[in-house]
Amino acid sequence: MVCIRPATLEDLMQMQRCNLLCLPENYQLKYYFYHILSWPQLLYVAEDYDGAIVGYVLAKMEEEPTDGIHGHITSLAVARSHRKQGIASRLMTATHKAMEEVFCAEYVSLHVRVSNRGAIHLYTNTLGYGVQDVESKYYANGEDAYEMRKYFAGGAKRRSGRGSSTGGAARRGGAAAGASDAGGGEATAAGSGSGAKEPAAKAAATAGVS
Amino acid sequence: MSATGNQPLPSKEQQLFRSLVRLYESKQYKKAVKAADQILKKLPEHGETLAMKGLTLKYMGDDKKEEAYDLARRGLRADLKSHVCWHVYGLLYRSDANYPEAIKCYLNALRLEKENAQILRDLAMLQIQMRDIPGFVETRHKLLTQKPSNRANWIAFAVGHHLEGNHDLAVQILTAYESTLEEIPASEAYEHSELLLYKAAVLREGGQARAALDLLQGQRARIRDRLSAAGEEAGLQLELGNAAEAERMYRELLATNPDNYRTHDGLRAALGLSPGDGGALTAAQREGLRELYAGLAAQYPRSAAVARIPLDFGEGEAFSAAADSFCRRYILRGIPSLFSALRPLYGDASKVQLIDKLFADYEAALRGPTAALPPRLDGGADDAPPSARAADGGANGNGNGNGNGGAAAAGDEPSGGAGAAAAAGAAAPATNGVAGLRPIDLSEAQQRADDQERDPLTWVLHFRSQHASWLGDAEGAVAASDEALARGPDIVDLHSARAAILGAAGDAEGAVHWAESARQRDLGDRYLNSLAVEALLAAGHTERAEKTAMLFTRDGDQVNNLFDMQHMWYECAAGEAALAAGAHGPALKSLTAVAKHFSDIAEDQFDFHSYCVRKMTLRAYVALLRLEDGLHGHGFFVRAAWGAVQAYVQLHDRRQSGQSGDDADDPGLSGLSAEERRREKQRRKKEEKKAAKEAADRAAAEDARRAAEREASSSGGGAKDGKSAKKRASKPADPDPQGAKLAATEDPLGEATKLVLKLRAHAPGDLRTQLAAFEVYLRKGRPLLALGAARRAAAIAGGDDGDVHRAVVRLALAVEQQPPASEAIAGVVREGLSELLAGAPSAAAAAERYFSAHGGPASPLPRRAAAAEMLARVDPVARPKAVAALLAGGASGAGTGALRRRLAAAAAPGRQPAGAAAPAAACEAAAAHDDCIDVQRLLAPGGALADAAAAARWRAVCAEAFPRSSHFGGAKRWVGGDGGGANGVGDKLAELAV
Repeated sequence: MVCIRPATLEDLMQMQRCNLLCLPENYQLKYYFYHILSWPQLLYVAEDYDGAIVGYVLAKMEEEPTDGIHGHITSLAVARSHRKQGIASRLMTATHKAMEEVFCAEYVSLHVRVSNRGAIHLYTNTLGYGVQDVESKYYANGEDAYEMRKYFAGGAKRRSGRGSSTGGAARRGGAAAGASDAGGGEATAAGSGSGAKEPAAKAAATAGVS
Repeated sequence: MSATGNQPLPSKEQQLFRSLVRLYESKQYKKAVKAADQILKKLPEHGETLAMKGLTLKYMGDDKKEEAYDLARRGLRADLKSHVCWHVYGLLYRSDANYPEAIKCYLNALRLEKENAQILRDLAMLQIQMRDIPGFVETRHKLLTQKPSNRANWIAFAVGHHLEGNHDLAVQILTAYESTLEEIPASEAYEHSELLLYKAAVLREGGQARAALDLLQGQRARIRDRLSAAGEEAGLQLELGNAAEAERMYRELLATNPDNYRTHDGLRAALGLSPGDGGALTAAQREGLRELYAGLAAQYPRSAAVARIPLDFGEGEAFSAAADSFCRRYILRGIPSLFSALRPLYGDASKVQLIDKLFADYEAALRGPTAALPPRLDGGADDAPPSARAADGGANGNGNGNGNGGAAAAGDEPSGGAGAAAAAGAAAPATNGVAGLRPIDLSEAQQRADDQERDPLTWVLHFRSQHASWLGDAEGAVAASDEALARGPDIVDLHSARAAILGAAGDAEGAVHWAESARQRDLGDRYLNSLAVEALLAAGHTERAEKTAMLFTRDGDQVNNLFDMQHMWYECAAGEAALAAGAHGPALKSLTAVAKHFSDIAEDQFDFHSYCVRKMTLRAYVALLRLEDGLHGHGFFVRAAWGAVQAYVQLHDRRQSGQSGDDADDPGLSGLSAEERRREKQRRKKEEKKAAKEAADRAAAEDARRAAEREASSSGGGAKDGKSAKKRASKPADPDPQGAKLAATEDPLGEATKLVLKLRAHAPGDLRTQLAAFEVYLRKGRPLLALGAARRAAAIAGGDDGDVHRAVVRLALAVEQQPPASEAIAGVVREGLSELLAGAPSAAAAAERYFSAHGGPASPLPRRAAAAEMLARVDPVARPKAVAALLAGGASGAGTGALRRRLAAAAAPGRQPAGAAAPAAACEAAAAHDDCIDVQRLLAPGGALADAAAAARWRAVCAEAFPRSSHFGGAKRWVGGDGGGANGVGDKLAELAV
């Protein structure tokens, strides 16, 4: 069985490896650095007995919120070999709790492929997310994304319809875990750039000679 | 910044200069250059303007780099007394990450302008980057004295003292800073909370546990991160001997997250239930643990950790009962990863037996009249019938688990996988009651798989197959896997498991077949794609592997994208596969890419030095600095550097043998007759020529393709295409896609030395480090350094280790043939060698002694191989005798050598991607197969013991020992196609997809 715990700096390279194994949206290590050095409480890992990271959640707070203080799930993955154990939902629950308690978030948002049946089921039926919007052609291959939100009890302005947790639908699909920021273009091309929104690229940091 | 040097500007130019600086800072480089040119038109030798123009050009493209430095130097010459010129020169160096030079420039600037805060800040940043901690502390002290009202100045100064080991001083500074604060505004509550937690951490690290605890308790109301504060408090209570309080806190933490093993560790320690110094539990402790976990199980029935931990301490019947209770849940719910959850127990033979019996009982009962699992050993009832799992939304619920990327990349048709938005079908929609969701339907294959997953016997067989494979029983594993697959042909996990089983048995091609079969069943799942790539690389199909991996990278621009995303497991595995195939260019391309990633990651920290002080995330920041300090000891780096050093060494040997005819150090030529050598060299030359030509052709074709792509994308397409075209155009084509230039390096040993230095600094305890150092230094004629490496290798692996023996004998031979010129060095080397040779008077005597001790059939194969190889080396006449002895023992005793390597790879976090599901991670059977391949290489043409007849015999022996081996042509190996199914349709699919 796996250990669910907050991520440390030492976990990041394995989180990156797990991400590259499981998901098409990838990020440079600097982007992981940026997350853990900004919101160390929001990263969780699932560690197998032999020390391998088999799942993780990479999350952040919106830095310039226009619509209430909120968190955002950048990336969530669990290796297919470790499915059906509730790992993703435990990772998500842990980061939700930290968003609410440490950062006073009103809600959390994420993007998910409209075809990712397993993940959508997890978010709506198990975790209580609702659909906020559809973003057309959000992913690199042209697929649409749902923008989903979950309002926290403490900061709820309004509750989106919480899916029935006894929904008769058989869970299934190869897919779950897979909230992914389209990272896509930005995360790839900008790579460190998108990661280093704040820690400005060195070029910019050279400004201001005496 | 204003012009301050010794060349005052007229007022108009002064204004222009100010706007030049402003424009530069706002990145309007073109305009900045224009402004500079206006000044220079009137005052062509104005130093500061020249310097600023240079700095601006630096950011306008790499092609302007030389001009930039040139201008900066001219500026400096014109105005040596200007701190601006020095500062700018330093900034130029900094932008090229040449920090030592930049620091020199800054120090010169500060000599002219002692109090300049901007330069001091820039200097401090470089000092911390270079870990000049005393320098950093000094600079930060100046900044704090200058401006104590600035929060960052206090914090950075405190961090500096912390890093220097002055914990008390660091705490004092933080306290002094706190005393300047009045009220903490809500907007800074988080930052303040982080500051308090950092201070507590510094106190604890400095040995002030009591003070740390007092702080955490006293400031509870201000600490937002309650979870980590509680964890710290609990740990401190334990450290201070307040076990009861620690227990209370750990129990509280369990209520938040019962699956954090670190909390469990703490709780057991608080209760005195941790093993003593000898690592063993007393009977009373075992009883205490049993009670503890019985209670926790009642409290947290859904926690997997609570259910699993009793298997670690339980013995005999108690173990069986705990294992039964744990395993049933996996079997009834159809959770595929049961074996990986139990695998850590396999070091204990008695537990392996009990597990074996448990599953034999399961199987018998499920095949029996009730067709159900036997009654629970603990007398309880199973919690939920498997049919309920679909609706279970709780913490242990369903609905998650696999890392599906969802969408297939370009060129890949989504099959029935999760990535497909199935068009039609009558199945229930994915979710109920949530507005805005589009319906998604299950494919027929998915529905079938769902049904099949409800069969407990399938999962019992799945487990038994992995269990048998781990224990080296390939046939038992295949039989169980066959039946599991017959019952659940649509369950993808069974296909992946079969691939791993065959891989462990040496059937690399069979593993490819089944990994492909799994991939074909869900083309949108990158995890399955990764497993297939791994299997392809293990089988040496490097090109197919690359094409398969490419399916998940955008633009089809595979290699660059892999590089950009720091895809290190792939680069390590691909590099190793290329090296095994003797393709040095591609091998170096992949392996040095990994080394480059590590340089980049070291560079990454730069931007965070000021960022973290601002954000106050100081605990994480200090952890970052410490991580970076040991960065090159990471498994990925060690693996890549080890591979790259081997490649460089082989290139060196090849050239030596080609040029000078001195083949002493060429393992491929030693022991060959003159005629054989000549033929072998001819063969190699031919191969090299052929490889070079092929590489050149490929490079040309690749260039042409890229050019065509650029052409195509720049000439057309909509908005989206435009975007990707821009991306492509902005990325220059890789001038050396196949690594031909890397392999053509003038100085392979010099390149290897750079890597060896990093390895020695960061991973001195790794055998690979010392062996790599030995190979390089021996060839460089540095006997002292080679001796040091051999000594450390012996300390790590023991003097009887085969690789250590090889090193010692070869060093002794080299010294005998060419004693060091310096008598002092010769003396030290002789002395050190006589110690390593354990009194043997010569290399020959040592080789003979080792041969009689370890060359016999009862010894482990890797030692037998080393014994034979070295005997033949010191005495070519004895080669037939050595070969005969090596073959006499057959494949027995194989496994220890490769097992060590595999364990080393597994211990490193960057190990193979198969993750926990693959039994091959450290499987002895697979290790044995690897060892036998090593012997095959010795006997093959070009090997140290080259002997065609013996090689053929060895192959036959191994084919019998490993009937599934594709390498040795075993009778039961996979010989069919390797597409998606036995009917060949899969092959067609594979071709289409690729």
